[in-house]
Formats: sequence, structure tokens, C-alpha cells
Amino acid sequence: MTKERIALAMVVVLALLPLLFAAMGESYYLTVATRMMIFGIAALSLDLILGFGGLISLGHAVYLGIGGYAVGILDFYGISNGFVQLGVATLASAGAALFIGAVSLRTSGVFFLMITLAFSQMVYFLAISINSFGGDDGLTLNAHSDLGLNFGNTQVFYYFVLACLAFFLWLSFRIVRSRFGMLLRGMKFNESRMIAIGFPTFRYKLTAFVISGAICGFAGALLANQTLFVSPSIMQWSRSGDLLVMVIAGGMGTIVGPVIGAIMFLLLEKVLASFTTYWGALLGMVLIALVLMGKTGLLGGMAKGGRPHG
Amino acid sequence: MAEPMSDVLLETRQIRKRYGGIVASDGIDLDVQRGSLHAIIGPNGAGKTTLIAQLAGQLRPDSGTILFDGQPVDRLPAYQRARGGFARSFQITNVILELTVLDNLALAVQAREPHSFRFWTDASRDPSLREPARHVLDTIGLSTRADVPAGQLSHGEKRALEIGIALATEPKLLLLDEPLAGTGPEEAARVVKLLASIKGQLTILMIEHDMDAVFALADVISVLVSGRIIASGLPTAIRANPDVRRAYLGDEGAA
Repeated sequence: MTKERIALAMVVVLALLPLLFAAMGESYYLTVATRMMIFGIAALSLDLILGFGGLISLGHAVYLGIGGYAVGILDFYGISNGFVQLGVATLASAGAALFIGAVSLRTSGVFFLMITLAFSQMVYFLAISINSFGGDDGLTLNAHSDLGLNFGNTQVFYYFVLACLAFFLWLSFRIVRSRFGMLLRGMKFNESRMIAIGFPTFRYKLTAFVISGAICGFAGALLANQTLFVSPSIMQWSRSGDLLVMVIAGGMGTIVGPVIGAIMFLLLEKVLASFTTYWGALLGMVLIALVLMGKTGLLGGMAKGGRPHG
Repeated sequence: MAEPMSDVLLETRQIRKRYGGIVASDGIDLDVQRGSLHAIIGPNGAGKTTLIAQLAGQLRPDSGTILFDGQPVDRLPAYQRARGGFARSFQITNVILELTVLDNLALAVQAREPHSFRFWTDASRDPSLREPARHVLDTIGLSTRADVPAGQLSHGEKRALEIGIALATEPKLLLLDEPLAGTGPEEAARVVKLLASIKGQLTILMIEHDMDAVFALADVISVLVSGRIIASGLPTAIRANPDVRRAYLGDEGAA
């Protein structure tokens, strides 16, 4: 099964899921599933730079925060137009990624990891210290982003998020197969060779970083809409770690794998938390088993028969 | 270009490079004629790879000038030199093992384009990349191996691909750093045949230890010893040169 088919099957299943939940009379599940899809978008965005560019960022949740706060702050000033809110969230995240990337992409490996972490911590503490936007307590939104859709209806919002997820999946598949995507993979495996044949690699890595940050910022805006609340914890560094886990466990460089990784991660979190308060330890064990057995993540094994990208 | 085309494509003047106490390049003057295959020989540690790296832009000389087509290039970063017509192969095979042979070449073809900010069309189905890549594939004799990951190639095939990647960028000057490194007799013969087939189509500067290959292929040979060119000339002249025999060829005969 190719990765595109897995993605398509997943989207179809997700589209039918609300019918099942309705039959079960469990509308709460819809909210949980929406959250999973939002994190799926965030994980997918990280996969673009981690799985295809080989860049291990430990600060990716910062874009969730920037996207979320963009919506929160616009709402605070009474600007509820959804196009403006989502647009600003995406552009602000892209701008932040441009700046963070311009600095951090001059390093690699563990230094890259440390710098991305440091930037995300800076923004995190900035959010804590600005009291007019709630500081540590966070910021409650007055209303959903106004796109002419009733986001207050969980089903409407669910399908909106699903449409966004499907769009970003499609977009990412296009990107990784394009010339830009080919070059991205070439740089991941052998950057010095790419320079030697004439590619100015820095600007391409930076572009990938900005695209990734922009998509993650959009996910942050969705997250703010779901809970009508943003707080600094949205971009805590452990959240960046969660995103890494979702991508690695789901299958790096597969686009759809990280989405499934995100769904599984949040599902396990919910299920294990219902058994024990020490669910974190159990989750850790599941992850170790998954990574040791699979090496390539959930989807690495599933999609093995498929042709590699390109 | 108002100037008439010179016969010299690459010219270095007094290139110096020092690592601590070691002088790797000690005032190197080199003229590479357009269209020639120019070989540089010299014992281990003579500074051959350092010279190539300075020409290709991975290293910057401490002093001296590199002129390419009459223009100084020693301030240009490696990627700009590549775009200007330099291509380099590496002593240690430097292909993308995870990608197929054809993808390796297609990426090198892609490198010729003004930019790669193209996010939409499927690169693996783009004839403007694939056809030139297939053409190079034929040249290097790997047509049957197009869809094999480069990591699965034999050493000799990897050496051919290494040269193919450089060729696919359509360079004016091909810098070959020990193209025969690590090859057995059969594989070496294959690479020599490949080099003989492309010789004359572009200018080649080659470092090589295999004297049979060098004397079979080279139009001009320069001998580098301890960071200095001690002799430069036709293969017959080099073979007869007493300094060269003493400094290099004699050593090898004794070893």
C-alpha cells in the first residue's frame, strides 16, 4: 500500500467516524478526535523538516504557541475575522520560523536541537511574563474564528479540521515529490555533496523550516479555536518532545505516519490515563517497544512494499 | 566577454595553504589547458587533495589567486564555483546511498537550473530532469542499474556514478580526486575506459596514484611534492625527468 493510499484510507475513516460516534451517543469522542487531527497536522509539519530534511528540532511546539496566541491576541482586541486570524497565525509562525531558522540552521545535530529549544523557551517565558495576555494563567477567547462556519458545533469544527488535515497531507505529498523535495532529501543524506554540485543549501533548508513552522502555526490556531483558550503550556518544551515522539513512532519521512503517530499517542495517553495515574511510564514502555521493534516507526513497516518517495 | 578566449581554462598563481606547521600548498602555479586532461601526481601527503579542495572551494587558500576563464574565483563559495562550471568527484565515494542511481543523477541535473524553488511538479516524472540523467547513465555504463539504490552498487559502479554526478552538472572543468581509489584491476579498467571516452569533451584535472592510468590518459602531467610543483610537461618528458624519478617514481619503484 502506498503512503498516499494509507492517507486516503485514513481520511475516509475519519470522515465516517462521527457517524459511529453519533450511533454510540458519544459526542465527547468527537472532541478528542478533533484534537488528535490537530496534533496530526502539527506532527506532519515537523516531519517535513525531520523526516525529509533530517533536522531534529526540539522547539517545534513554539509555532503551536505563536499560532494559538495570534488568534487569542486578535480576539482580545476584538478582531474575530477568521481569515485574518488564521492568516496572521500562519504568517506570524512563518516569520518566527524564518528568524529562528536563520540562526539555528547555521548549526546542526545537537547544537541545532539546543538552539531550537532555547528559542522556544524564550517565547514560552515571554508568554508567561506578559500579564495583559493572561501570563501564566493563559488567555480565554471570546469567540471562535469567524469563517462563516459555526465552530461552536463540534461536528462542524471536526469536519473543518479534517478538511485542513486532508489539504496539508495533499500539499505535503506534492512538496516532497517536487524538485524542492528531492533536494531536501538530498541534503538530508549528504549536504556536502549537494553543495559540491551547486546547490546553495542554506536557503532551501530555511524555506523548508518556514513552511513547516507556518503549517504548525496553523495547527496552533486550530487548537486555540477548539478550547477557546491559549496558555503558555501549549508550547512547553515537553510538548515539542511529544511531537518528536509522534513523528518518530509514526514513521519519519512518510507524511501520513506522523499523523497516525499523533492519533496513537493521544489515544494511548487517554486509554492509559484511565487505568493509572502513572500512565506516563506505561506510555514510555510502549514507545520503547515500538521503536525497538519497528525502527522505522509504525508506518515504516506498513509502507515497506511501496516505492520510496521520488 | 570582450576578451578573446584563452587557451588556459584554469590558472593558479602562488596558491599557499598552511595547517599549523605543515605547508600543504607552497606557492602552486598551475595552468590547465582548455580541453586537456591534466593529471597531478605526487607521493602521499604532497597536498593533492588540499589543492583540489581549494580549486573546488571547500577550502580557501591563505594567499594566491585562482583564475577560471580569466576571472578570479578564489572568493566564491563552493556552490557558486559549481554553478560557474566546476565539478568535483571525491576520493572517498560521495554519492547519496539512499537514493537510486537515476535520482542521484537527476539531482545533479537539477543543480544546473537557476533555482529549485519548485514545489509542485513531480520531479521523478519530469523529462527535463530524467532524460539528461539517463543520457549520463548511458555514458557511465549504468543503464541497467537506474532504479537500484546507489548503496547497493559495487565499488567500481559507485566510482562510475561519482564521476557521473559530476558530469551531469555539465561542467567546463572536471576535478577528479583519485577516480580509481580502492578499485580492483577490472573496476579500474572500467573507470579508465569511461575517462578515455569523455576525454576531449571537457577539461579534466585529475589526481591519481595509478601510474598506468595516468600515463595512458593524461595530455599533461604535473608533479606535486611537498606542496610544490616540481615538474610539469608531457608524459614522456615527465617520465624522463631525473628530479621526478628521484622524488617520486623512483620511490614507488623501491617501495
